[in-house]
This record gives sequence, C-alpha cells and structure tokens, in this order.
Amino acid sequence: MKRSHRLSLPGWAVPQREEYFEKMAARGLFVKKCGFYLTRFEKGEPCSVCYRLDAAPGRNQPPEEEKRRFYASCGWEYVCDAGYFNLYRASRAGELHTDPQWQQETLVPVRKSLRSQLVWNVVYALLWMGYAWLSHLSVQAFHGGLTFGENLSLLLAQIGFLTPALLGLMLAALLLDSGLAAAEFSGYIKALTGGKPRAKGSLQGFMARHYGLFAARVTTALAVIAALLLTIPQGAPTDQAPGAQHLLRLEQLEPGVTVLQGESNLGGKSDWVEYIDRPFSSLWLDSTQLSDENANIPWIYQRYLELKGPLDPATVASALCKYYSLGNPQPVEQSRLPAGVDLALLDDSREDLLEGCAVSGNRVLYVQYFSHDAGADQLLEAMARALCAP
Amino acid sequence: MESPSPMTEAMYYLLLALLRPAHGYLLMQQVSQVSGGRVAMGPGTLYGLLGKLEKAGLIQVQQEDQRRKTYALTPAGRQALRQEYERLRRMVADGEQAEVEML
Repeated sequence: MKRSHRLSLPGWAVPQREEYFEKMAARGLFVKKCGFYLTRFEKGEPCSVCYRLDAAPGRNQPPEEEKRRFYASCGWEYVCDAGYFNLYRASRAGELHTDPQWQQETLVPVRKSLRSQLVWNVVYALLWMGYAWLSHLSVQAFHGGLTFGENLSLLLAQIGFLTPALLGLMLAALLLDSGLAAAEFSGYIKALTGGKPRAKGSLQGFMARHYGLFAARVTTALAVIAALLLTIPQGAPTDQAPGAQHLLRLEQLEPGVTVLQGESNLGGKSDWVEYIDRPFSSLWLDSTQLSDENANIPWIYQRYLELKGPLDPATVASALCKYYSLGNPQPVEQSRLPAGVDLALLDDSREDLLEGCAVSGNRVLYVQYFSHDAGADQLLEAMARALCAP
Repeated sequence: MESPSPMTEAMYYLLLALLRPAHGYLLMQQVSQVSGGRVAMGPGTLYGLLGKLEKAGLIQVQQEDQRRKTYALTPAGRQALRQEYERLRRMVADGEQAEVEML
C-alpha cells in the first residue's frame, strides 16, 4: 500500500481535522496514523467516508475494547489515536454524537488540558520577564552586580546578539499557539449546543494560518539553532579553536616557563595555558589533570570575545570584569595603553594575580594571570599583541 | 448520585427505551422506535449516557457476555423516568390551559 505523509493540523481543531480527513478520503488518501507533526495516509480508491473525533480516555490512548466493539457494531470503525481524541470512520451518514450537552461534557478534560498548557506558557513568559527584571537590579547576588544593560550586553556578546530576541519570539509563538488553542476550542465547545459546528469553507483559511504559524516557528527554531552553532565552536582543539590566535600563551609572558601538556575536560589536548572562548563551556584544566602536580606553576585563565552585534565594547569589557574578576579592575589611563588597544581595565593590586580586560575594535580579551614574573605593563603589551594579531 | 432533572431529551428517551431491557445496538433502534423516528441516537452519545446513567444508579447491567451488555432500568431509574414524565405532562397541561395551541 502506497503511503503519503502530510503535516498534521493541531490536535484541538476537531471540525477542521474531520473535514480535512474527509476531503483527503475523497481524493483517495485514507488516514492511518495521526502524529503530532505528521499524519500518515494510505492510498486507495477515492470514496466518501465520514470521520469523527471522539474524546480519548487519556492523551494518545486508544479507546477501551468494549467501546471500540460497540462503536464497530454501529458502523464506526476505530482508525487511530489522535492526541486528545480517538479517530473513527464510517462509510454511511449518521452522527457519532447526537446529544451536544453530553458531547460537551466529554470535551471538558481536553479544554482543561489546553487551558493548563496556556497557563504554563504564561508562567514561562512571566519567569522570563522576571529574570529580566531581576537582572536589572544592581545587587551583588546577581551576576556579580551586573546592571540589566551590562548583563544583556554580556549575554548578547556570549550567545549572539540575535539569540535572545529569537528566544523571545519562540516564547511569543508558543503563547500565541496555546492561546489560540484554548480560545478556539472553548468556542467550539460553546458552539456545540447551537448545532454541530462544521468548518464550512473555512478549512483552507485555517490550514493556511496553521501552516504559516508552523513555518514561522520552525524558521525561528532553526534560526536560534544556527545562531547558537555560529557562536559556539564545537569541540575544536585548543590550537585550532576560533580566536586562538588572539589568546595569550603563557610563554609570551614568562619566556623561561616550562609549558606542560594536559588534557582538558572536553577531551582536547591543551597546555598549561588555560582559556575559554566558547560560551557556557570551558576548557578547564586543573593541576590533577597535568603531569606535574606542582601547584605553584603559573597559569592563565582567559576569555576572548569577538563582538558581532551592535554592542558597545566598553560595556562588554566592564561586564566581563564584573562577572569574572576576583579583584576590581579599573580603567587604564589613555597614555599607558599600548598601540592598537582602545581601552583597558586592570587590577594589579594583588601580588599573585594580575587581571584585566583589553578592547581592540570589536575584539575583547579578558585575562586572569596567576603568576610572579610578568608585570602589569607586560601583560598589557601581551594582550595588545594578541588582540592585534591578524 | 441524584437523578438528573430536568433530563436531556437523549436521557429521557434512553430510559424510555430501557423499559424493555436491551443491549447497545438494539437500544439505538428502540430509541428511534419509541420516538417515532424523531430521535436518532448516535453510538457516542449512547455509550456515554449508558455509563453516566449506570453510575447514577438509574440503570444496571442485567446480562453480560463477551460481546455485549444488556441493560435494564433499576427501581431508581423507573422512579426518575416517572418523575420526568409527570413533569413533562404538567408542562404540556399548563400549555394547553394557556391555550398555546391557539397561537
């Protein structure tokens, strides 16, 4: 038997789905399986078939055997489960349900489920908005005291400036979808007592709207994934990682140092120079992973960002320092900045640690250098060389 | 559970049809028969109502084999049917008294 697949209509659209299946049967395509995204049809001789959706005992559950037998004895053959419903077909006219009041009662659990979905989506939206509001508070507990603007700038710099907007769009699409489902299904239930509501003439419009929304959602999801893939390099070895040429090598600061080889927690080979240039993940080395267990060996922790969106590098640099710094880096005087560096923040108040952030064009390099040999100016020079590398 | 009053048309005719014990498919025919062909009851409605009325104690399974169940009215079901019949009769009588037919 030749099969054919089509995009599914939403599970709550009872009259539209019934009419759609009937039209497909008239074209010789008979529904065999209803999935969330795809509906499977099998080809046969075109004929007039009546399809009806009956409330299922539970989501994606088939009817009880007794009910199935009873319906079959009345000419209604069970086809498949279809989300909240069970699908039946009959070759002759006659309704499955003749008492709208009773039919309404059977549909109440479906309406309840759709409403609870809507409520959850509203909760997610409120949580998202609550997060934005909390981020706005300049409280030390939130991301090292980042203000909302700094927090957003850092987030945009780390995960791509389009991604938060696209995530917001996805959330809006979810809300719209569940809102439409709850409202239209409630309307369908109410209309039952005024005669069975058939989707006369409106099926094409309904399908166009549904497929349009579906396409918008898929496009947005793909855009989010693409944005994430573009901003997160996947498992590149240390020396080949994007931005690696802009990172500081320990031997640049301490020429006499012995650079030990180790293995990062992501499996890539790395040396004593420790860096992070991928969002929300790190190549974090600890001394136990290295061949030398001497805890006094100097090391570098750094983060390199290449700003691709309309972001202010100074704000991102300030946010990076607030977020990661152990101390309190302060702006470096213009006269002290090496050539090629637009601005820098530095903290050299501790003996064992130098940390700072330098900006050159759209490149931002944040460094924590735990060591003894190189001084603040050497670090600034090294950062400048790294940032200005081709 | 209390008997629903006023009853829906479907409930009333189903109880009326059950004055003679019958199984599901036969009941559909009996409903059509007792209503003079005016009421056609779909299997979805019938199956749901049988469950609801059984739960309310108005009907019971009289006989059950592997393929089907035969239902009959319980004393409570007979009483509920009688009450509904009286209610409907009074309504008709009131209409007659008010000369609704003359409208």
